[in-house]
Amino acid sequence: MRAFSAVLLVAGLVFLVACGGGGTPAGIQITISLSAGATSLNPGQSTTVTAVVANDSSNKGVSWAISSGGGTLSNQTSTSVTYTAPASVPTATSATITATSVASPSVMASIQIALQTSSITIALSPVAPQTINQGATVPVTAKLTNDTSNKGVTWSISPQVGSLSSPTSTSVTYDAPSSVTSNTLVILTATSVASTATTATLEITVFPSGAAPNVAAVTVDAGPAATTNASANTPYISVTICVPGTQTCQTVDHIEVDTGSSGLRILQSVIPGLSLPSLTDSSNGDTVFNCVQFLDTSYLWGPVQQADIRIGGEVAGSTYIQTISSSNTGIPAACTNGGTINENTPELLEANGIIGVGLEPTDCYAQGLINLCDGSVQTQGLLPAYFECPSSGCASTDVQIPIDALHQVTNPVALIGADGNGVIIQLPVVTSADATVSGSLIFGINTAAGNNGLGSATAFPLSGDSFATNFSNQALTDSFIDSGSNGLFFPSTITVCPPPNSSFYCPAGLTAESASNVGAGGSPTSIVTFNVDNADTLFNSNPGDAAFGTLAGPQGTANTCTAQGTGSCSFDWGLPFFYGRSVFTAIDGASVTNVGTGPFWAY
Amino acid sequence: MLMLPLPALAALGGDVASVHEDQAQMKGSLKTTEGATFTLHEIKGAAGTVVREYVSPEGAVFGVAWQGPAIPNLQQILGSYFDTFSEAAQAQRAAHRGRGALYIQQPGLVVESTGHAHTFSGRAFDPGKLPQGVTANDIR
Repeated sequence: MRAFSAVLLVAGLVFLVACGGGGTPAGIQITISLSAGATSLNPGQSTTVTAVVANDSSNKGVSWAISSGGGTLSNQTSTSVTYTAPASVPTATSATITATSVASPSVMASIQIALQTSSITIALSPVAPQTINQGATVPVTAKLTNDTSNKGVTWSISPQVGSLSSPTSTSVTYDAPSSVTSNTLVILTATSVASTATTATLEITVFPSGAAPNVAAVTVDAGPAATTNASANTPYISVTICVPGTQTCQTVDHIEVDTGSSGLRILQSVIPGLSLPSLTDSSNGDTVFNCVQFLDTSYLWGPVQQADIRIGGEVAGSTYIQTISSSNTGIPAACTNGGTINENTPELLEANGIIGVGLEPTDCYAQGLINLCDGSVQTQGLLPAYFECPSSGCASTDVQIPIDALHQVTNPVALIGADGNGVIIQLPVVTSADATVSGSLIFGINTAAGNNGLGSATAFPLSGDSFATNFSNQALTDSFIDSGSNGLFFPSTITVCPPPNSSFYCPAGLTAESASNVGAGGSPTSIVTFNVDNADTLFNSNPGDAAFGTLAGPQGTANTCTAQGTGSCSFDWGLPFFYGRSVFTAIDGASVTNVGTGPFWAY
Repeated sequence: MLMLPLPALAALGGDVASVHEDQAQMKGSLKTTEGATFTLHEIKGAAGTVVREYVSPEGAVFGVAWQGPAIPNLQQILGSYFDTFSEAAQAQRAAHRGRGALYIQQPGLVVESTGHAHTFSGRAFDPGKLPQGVTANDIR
């Protein structure tokens, strides 16, 4: 907080008197006393100045003027005025507002309002997180505003990996070390010399090799700082979110990478200063809201807004996202659906946002580009995904509305151009438990980027965004790969943990299992072996750890899947499946050189 | 002021009339199949999700199952069991750190909720109240 440096004058100090003003009987003097709602303003801020005029028998009040200091007056009446400070205040000063009696113009009063200097801001270029190879360099410049003494910034890095060269007050070059053993995140900080509390940071991830603009660093760690319980098996990236077409941006860490959904959803509470345009219905001015429902009846609710999304060197321009509202009111019952947990804090969401980089181009499509929210499916109603509300909020009884695909919450991958046909997630092997692990989210499959070929991976065609998994004499026909699931979830007779961990298995000891995945139509087939450990033991023996390679749990009940698809027919290959693999997710309708058209998974 | 009567608690644990409450709430179509040990009522809701309600010869709803593109309103179909469910779900969530399938197994209530993308399924029943000749695996 900056200290006051300007003159501070209290309201209503100055009383001037005069005799013989028109309309006022001789001997009774008009007096004016002034007060202001605020006696100190930041640049561009406003306050109301009020005059109390005594003995003004004709009730003519006062007229208003600015005597010094600049700014503007508006909403003038005979007893009040709105004063707005200048938009730019290079050095601290004050403004004087004068009120003159209309009935007796020789009677005046004035009030001084302190004007604070514009605070120093630092904008770094580049602004988006950088991903570079070992041995590479990043030139960085700082642009300061309101740095009236032109003192510029000092530069630092944390951790001390690599070095800084050629530092000046507005530029520096970051030199990555010649060799790193794993993806390493370095934070470069610029600190204002004139105001050391003012800083700006740039995230630089140094890769051992093969880095490119289509790569973002993935970290599996304990989650956002605000979370008290460590997250288990949740992969995060940093995402830069910008007002469309501008450099007004904010980089947000701990955005969960979810191949099981499509579209970016970010907590409004983590981007409070970013004014993103909301999608509105032009016929009535209502704002369009989006709703997501989870299996445990928790939900996400918030307006559809537009943002430029920058990840690594990729940009998804003017993308429709969901901004998760901080409010718990004005939510239709069709969205809450009987649920009680509104996941609108980092603690509840276990992330600052979720980026859905899954199989479909928007949050409403099913395989074959069947849209479940635009009203095109005649045999059933709309998903409870979109609503529209006036500024007073939605009514509990509001029902979902149709919305066309171009205005639905959009998978950012589909909008990044040349690398927009899918993603690859690469994570290292996690044998049992690790505190954190680092890997990569790579955009594009077999694109000109050259670093995203299928290699030895096998592609699996899908049906209904699923493939089949044969496990323990069960043909689980609705199986899927999902980085947003934090374990392997499948129907089995393995012992379930006692509450509260009854969503996980607790076998007596490490249990070896195997299953085979089968593409739609019967091929290809691949056998996957995996281990299931006792989840209670895993958690209790490794407090604070975030990565668990052998975490698994029940998905319904074993041996209940029927040929009609009722019962428990899913094997959910969650994050443990990703450890030690490159897992490819190709978008529905997108073409992939030498493979075919999405959707498909490959590993 | 006119007070409207509250609807009877619906579905699991309710009587056969609660099936019709559910049908009305889901704006759905109802198909009824009579079996030897229970009657199955299938309600297809507006969003395309099918809810199956299992009714004993005595007229009590002893199990519900669902399948489709949207999760049904569990408060509606779990009826008086919803608070127990909600408490267990929140406790599990607080402890289990992360997101996955939901599986609640208590002496008086089993709830399984699974799915991905636009395919959800699940079931709920009270293991102590299954009619003679019915097993848990009949509810699916």
